[in-house]
Amino acid sequence: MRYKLILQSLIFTAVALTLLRIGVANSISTSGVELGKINETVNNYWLENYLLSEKLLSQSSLSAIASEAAKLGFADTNESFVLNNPLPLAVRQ
Amino acid sequence: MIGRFKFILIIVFLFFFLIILRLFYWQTLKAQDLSTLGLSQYGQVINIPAQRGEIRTSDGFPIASSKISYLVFAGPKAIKDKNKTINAISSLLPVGKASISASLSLDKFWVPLARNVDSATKERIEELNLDGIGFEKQYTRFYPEASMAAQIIGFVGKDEAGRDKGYFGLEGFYDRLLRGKDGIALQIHDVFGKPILAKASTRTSEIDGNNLILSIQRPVQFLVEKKLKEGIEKYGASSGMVGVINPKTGEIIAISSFPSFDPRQYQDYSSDLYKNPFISNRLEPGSTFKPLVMSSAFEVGVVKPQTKCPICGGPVQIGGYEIHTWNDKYYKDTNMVEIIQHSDNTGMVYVGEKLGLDKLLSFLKSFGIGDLTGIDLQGEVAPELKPKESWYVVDLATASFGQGISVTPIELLSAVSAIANEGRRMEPHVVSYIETQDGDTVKIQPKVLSTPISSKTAKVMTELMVNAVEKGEASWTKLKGYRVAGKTGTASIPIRGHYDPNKTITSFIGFAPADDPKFVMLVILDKPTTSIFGAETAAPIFFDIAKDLLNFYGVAPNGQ
Repeated sequence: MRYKLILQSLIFTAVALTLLRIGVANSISTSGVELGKINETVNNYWLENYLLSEKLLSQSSLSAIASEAAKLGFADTNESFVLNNPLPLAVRQ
Repeated sequence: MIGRFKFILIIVFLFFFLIILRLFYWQTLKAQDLSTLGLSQYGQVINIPAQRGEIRTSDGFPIASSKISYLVFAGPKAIKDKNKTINAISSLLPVGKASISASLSLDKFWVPLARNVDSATKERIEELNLDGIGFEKQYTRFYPEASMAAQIIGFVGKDEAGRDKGYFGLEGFYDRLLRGKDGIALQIHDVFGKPILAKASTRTSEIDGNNLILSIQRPVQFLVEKKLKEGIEKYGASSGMVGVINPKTGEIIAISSFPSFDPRQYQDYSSDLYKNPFISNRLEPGSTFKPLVMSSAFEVGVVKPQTKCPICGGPVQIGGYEIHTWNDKYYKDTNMVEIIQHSDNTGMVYVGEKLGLDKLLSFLKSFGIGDLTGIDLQGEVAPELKPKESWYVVDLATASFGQGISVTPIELLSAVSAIANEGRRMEPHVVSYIETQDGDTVKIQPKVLSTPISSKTAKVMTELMVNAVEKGEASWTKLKGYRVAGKTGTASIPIRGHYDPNKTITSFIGFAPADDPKFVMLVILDKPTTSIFGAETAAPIFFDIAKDLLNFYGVAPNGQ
């Protein structure tokens, strides 16, 4: 009795899934154009994103930044200073 | 009657046999051809190019990436007004009218017109709505930092079959990892040539290449390239190179050489520039070799820092030759500390004699001299050491101060790194880890190649090199407030059996801070014209770069 029930439910599941597949296939069979458009939009966004990342890399390269900095008048600092000892108390106040 | 039956039976069998033979011919022998022919009638195979992996510096910035470009092609038979097409296309593509006209006059279905066309140009051509013009997506190499680290990266060219292939540097060494695998898509179309969507998914996916993450530090590489170019110009050298390594891990922080090439237009440069001279040029190391010989002698115990040199009072006669010091100044009873400080050739002859040929060769081998370092760049060479039988007495003497022996810069850098790393020589490598397309990372583990000297000897040698910087010929350019260990080098250039008296290869090798080195750096200038000495050319470049590097690593001066 138990095996029979399992067998019936398996057959029912198989039939139900087959019907579902037919239904879904039917419903999207006329949506090819829409699917194509969605695919095209995704591809366009991907391409746009890719081209923007190219621009971003070019503009954030050290050579581009150094060249831009030179144009703006930035210069290398030749001197750096280090505080090795604490300042005298009187100065700190 | 039976004979007739038999005859007809044989004819029938023969007939069927012939049919079977024909079927075998079409279905087995010609199956592939028929399949291709059928495919050409109802479908089109589209090659989906795999994206070549990126090469990124330690901060994750891609110094070699891929960008989308297009191959513009034409179907001459589908073009109605060829003159209009030629005029329109030639104004947008970097190809002459004559070349396009010649391509379109061919009796072919498909002809390429231009490669590496960018997206903006492609869009402008599309807006013209020309018949018979199409585009094929491709990936081409893109270098956001232009020619930075060109000789580390190498370049991507074509193989015999016209496919992308990496040459030289990392592109050559890791070509198979970077390359990936192209995919194939089959686009089925109906009788009118319109694509059937349901069948478009018949494809094998492309597999993009793996990414390489380098130990190269982009700001350091940028700084080194800038300072090297300035130095070459300032000292009138014909070329130069700089290498910086982390002695504790063997990670290459920067390698630069000049002149170099631009990987975007590698065809415009001499092929001699494709090689990375830091790993493929042989040169006599000169006095930068002395720390290796001296530390070997300390390790064996044949001399100690305070051992006095009994032959240093004047030129040394050996094997029929007379050996002088570089400035013809001689210091009687000088000790080992002063020999390194004064870069005394006669003192090194004494050390070489005390060490002996067998031990010298054994130590040089342990320092990696004569062997490939194993750096992960294509094109490394290793000048072999002469066999023991070919060494004359004078060879031992000259090798002790770095003449008559040749090494590559990477060999020398790797060997001196052992002194900076408590005697352990690490395998130099440029790639820190490999990032697969699945998101997994494969770390390249640091590897100890050899331990030529003990930690104690390394410390003693470091002190001698610090003393050489503080009191030697290059002391005028030293950094105030930092303990830097270093050694100058001035190597004569051998020409037709003798040395050119006016041309030298100058160098400086050192590490800082001496007590806990962040880097070991080798600077080499070829034929400087302002001075022929390392102390006056390579040393100032070394200290100029070292100052910025110590600042970059946040190492403060000690307030002297």
